[in-house]
Amino acid sequence: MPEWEKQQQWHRLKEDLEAREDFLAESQTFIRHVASQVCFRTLEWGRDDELSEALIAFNDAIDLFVEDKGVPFLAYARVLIKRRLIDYYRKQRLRQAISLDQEDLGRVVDIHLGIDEYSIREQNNERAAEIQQFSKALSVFQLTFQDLVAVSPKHRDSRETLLRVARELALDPDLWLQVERKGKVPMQALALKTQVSLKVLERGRKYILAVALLIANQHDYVYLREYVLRQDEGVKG
Amino acid sequence: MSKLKAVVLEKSGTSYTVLDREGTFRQVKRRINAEVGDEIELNVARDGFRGLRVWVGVAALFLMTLTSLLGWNLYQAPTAVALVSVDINPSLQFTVDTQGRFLELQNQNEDARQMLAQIALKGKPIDEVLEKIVTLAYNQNFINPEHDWIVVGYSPMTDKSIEKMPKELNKLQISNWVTEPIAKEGLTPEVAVFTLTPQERDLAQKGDLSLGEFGLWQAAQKAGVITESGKLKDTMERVRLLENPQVKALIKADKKEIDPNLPLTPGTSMEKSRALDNPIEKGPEKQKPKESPSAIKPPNFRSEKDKEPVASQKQPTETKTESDHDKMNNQVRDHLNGQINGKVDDEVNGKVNGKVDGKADDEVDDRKNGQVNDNTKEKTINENERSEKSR
Repeated sequence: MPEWEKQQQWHRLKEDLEAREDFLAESQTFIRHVASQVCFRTLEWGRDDELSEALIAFNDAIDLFVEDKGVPFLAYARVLIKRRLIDYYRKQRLRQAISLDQEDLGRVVDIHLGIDEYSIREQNNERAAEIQQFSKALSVFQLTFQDLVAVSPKHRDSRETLLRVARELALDPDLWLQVERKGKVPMQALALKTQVSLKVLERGRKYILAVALLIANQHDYVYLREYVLRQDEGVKG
Repeated sequence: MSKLKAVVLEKSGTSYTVLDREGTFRQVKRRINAEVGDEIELNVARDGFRGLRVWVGVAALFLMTLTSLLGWNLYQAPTAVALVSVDINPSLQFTVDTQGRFLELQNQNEDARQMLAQIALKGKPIDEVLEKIVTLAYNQNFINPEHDWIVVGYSPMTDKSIEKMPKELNKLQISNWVTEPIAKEGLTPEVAVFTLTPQERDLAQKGDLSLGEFGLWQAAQKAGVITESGKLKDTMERVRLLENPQVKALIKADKKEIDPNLPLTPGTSMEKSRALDNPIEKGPEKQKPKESPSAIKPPNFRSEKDKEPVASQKQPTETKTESDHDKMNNQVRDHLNGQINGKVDDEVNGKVNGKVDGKADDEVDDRKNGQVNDNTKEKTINENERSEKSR
């Protein structure tokens, strides 16, 4: 569970309507991102009903979530959003929009998935989906997991330096925009920003890029990003 | 070792590609059947532990080396660094190691064989060995007031082993060791200790003499007392030489040169030994200038059956010194084995001994011995010239 989730006062969210409203407003980006992924199109608030369904699912997730279970809230909310949308599409008979959860089409989807029912197997499936997505994202940059094993820093100090650099790259909108547009890491700008030598950055370029991908796409890699962020460095999604 | 959670990213053959909680992409062996997306636990060594493991490895290597060295040293048979002889009768000769411990008997006569049959000396420190030998000899009446001479000789095995010899192996200490056990019984024995060089030891072995016997023969030569080396096997002949005032004076003069700072084993009576060496208490002794060992002619080497070798004796390597000595041996054999010399020797010694046995005043003895010596030398020279002319 990310640090920000740990610091979240879940009890207050469940009781205090105003706090819940604020949290829902903050989470709109996430809700829209997940819903758009399920529907394979960009959704807009006030125009698409899918977002309303997704928002309801997210709200349910707040009620059903139990922090002691050790499950990331966003991962749980994402599953609920997906299930609700599948159920929504079934009702609407819009099968063409459904692709990720084809196996659920043949059976009744229980959208009221309790946190206790959110099994390890489902978490693993969620992770597997994230990994598949991550693998595709890496291939855009001609990277494979084997490449990352080869360039992964072995020494703790080097690893922490490169993780810090990747975090700064991912959370800097200008720098990350350059990555997305050019498909390259802006080494000079990154060296200036992080005060890390170009030699070190060049040596760790592939690793920095892979980690930055996980951190920048926070809504896509709810599980995987936890592996590259230290517990005290959790970034609110 | 610590547990680290990791998510399986990829399965390939017998390994998984994982991303662990520290942000490292790793390749790990497939030990359990996990699918992509499953979270597994890895056993990894922490950096600190890695360092510790290195140090433990180094320490283990160091210990192994140390153990091997110690083991090798222990495995190595102790090296003989010195040869020590004791002639009372019984007569025996044995080797000692660097620690001054008894290694093995080299020679012993029949009396020594019988005497030592009851005891085991191997590995015992030399002081204990000498004490046992002397005590046994006293108990078996080999040492008594009529026969109280103990001749000890010692020599390093080689020139190199001089430094390895135990420090307590010196004349004063040996004298103490052999004196003390009998002194307790009320008898103070007469002790003659001779130090030989490795070359002299070789000569002694060639001549089938013990170190003590060779040392005594050398002393007799220095003192101008001529004797056949073969006769030194005879206890009476040894006593005769030892009681010779000139030889006695030479031995005592040699004792006086002992460095009082030499290391002593605690518990030995130094005072007694030094009192024994004090010439004032025993009366003035005539001292002759000391000759270097190499200047002394080697004895007439004759085969003797008295000694029976116990262990295989090492044959000395052929050296230039030995060949020189062989030449000298032949010359000495020619000269000293002559009947004339024997007669002169007997005559002179007879005269001297007659007076000395009466325990006359030492000063008078010295004076007379001096005269006799001079006369003897003249006679010997004349006889030698005559024999050369006749040839």
